[in-house]
Amino acid sequence: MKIVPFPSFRKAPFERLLEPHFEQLYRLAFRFTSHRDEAEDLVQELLARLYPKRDRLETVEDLRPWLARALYNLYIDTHRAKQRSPTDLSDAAASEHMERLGDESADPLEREVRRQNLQLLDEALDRLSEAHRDLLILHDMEGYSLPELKEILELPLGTLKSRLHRAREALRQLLSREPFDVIQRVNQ
Amino acid sequence: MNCKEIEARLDDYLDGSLGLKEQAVVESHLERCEGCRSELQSRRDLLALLRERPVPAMRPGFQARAFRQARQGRAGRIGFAAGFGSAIAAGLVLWLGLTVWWQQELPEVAQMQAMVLKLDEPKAVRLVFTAKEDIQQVEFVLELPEGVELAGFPHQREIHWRDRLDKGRNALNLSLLAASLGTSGEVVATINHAGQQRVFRIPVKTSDDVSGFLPSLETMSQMI
Repeated sequence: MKIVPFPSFRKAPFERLLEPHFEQLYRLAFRFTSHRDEAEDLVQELLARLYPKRDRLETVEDLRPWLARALYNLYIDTHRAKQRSPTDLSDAAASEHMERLGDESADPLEREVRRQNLQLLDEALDRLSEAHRDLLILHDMEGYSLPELKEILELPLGTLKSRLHRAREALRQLLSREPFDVIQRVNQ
Repeated sequence: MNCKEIEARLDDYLDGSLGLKEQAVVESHLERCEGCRSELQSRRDLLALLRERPVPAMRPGFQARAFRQARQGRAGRIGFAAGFGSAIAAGLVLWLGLTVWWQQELPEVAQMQAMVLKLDEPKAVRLVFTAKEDIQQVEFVLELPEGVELAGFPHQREIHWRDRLDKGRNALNLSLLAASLGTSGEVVATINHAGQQRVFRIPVKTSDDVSGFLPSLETMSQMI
């Protein structure tokens, strides 16, 4: 069935520009805040701050890293001051997602191992330094490239690369201290 | 290179950021070193695990509310009750079908019972046009009553555009929401081609109270 395309050029410029990035901004906000309510607050606040400057959005060449940087800066300024609490994956949506992850394997034991691995990973991420955690969120979880990170974090490429190496190494070290080595268990 | 030097390059190897020459050296080493292969697999698995960390879905209707509140200059927490209510609306997709042109026995106007729209909770409506053959240069006109908006198209009461219809079924997906409460009227979708016209009329009310007005899918199909 043909879907008759709606004339997107008639959309208000603010929505037309931001809608393609909305889901990604929410994902990023959730990665930073670890809570859905706070993630929605952060995105809402970002939109409220951007709306009066909406004309400027049209002049931005690549909105993806630009918006990520705006969100990240807002998070640092307004949300990070609050004490970070462990990732909230207790709501139904997250549980369903965990179930789906588990369902990839028919083996209940493997599913359980995967669930435990994700839990240990969350605990290890919470123990990382903020700089390392932020970098892993942006690069390894949400797929921002190093050139994009250069714009988002305003750091030279060389610094980013070495920091990314150190962040991954720190995470591996934390996981290898677990009573059951996550990395080894994944391989089993 | 020894294993230590290779290990120092495994992250770059996984990121695809090694030069061709270094990449070949690493791959050659990996072919003959089981320890480094195992380390590479470990790192690959950890990256996969990072990417798999779940993100719960946004509350239904959050995007529309966020844009609306931004336009109104409001930031901060959006009430949970509003988000919860929208879960019902977001799950409802209304189908209206109308065969256009060369099938004269069907009515020229398709009409249905009133839809109730709530603030900031987009309700999906799919209008289906069935064409007997490809039709070029069809004009679409969408008219919205006071208090009703298309999600993402604030303050626009009438939208015109041109497109084509393919032979068979063609769908136009609308996402309607209330911009203010206590209004009623009709969303009118008109398609014009070669002097002929077909019209969809969708009566709408805007209210916080949906009881008694929410049409079911079954009701809608009987209207066609």
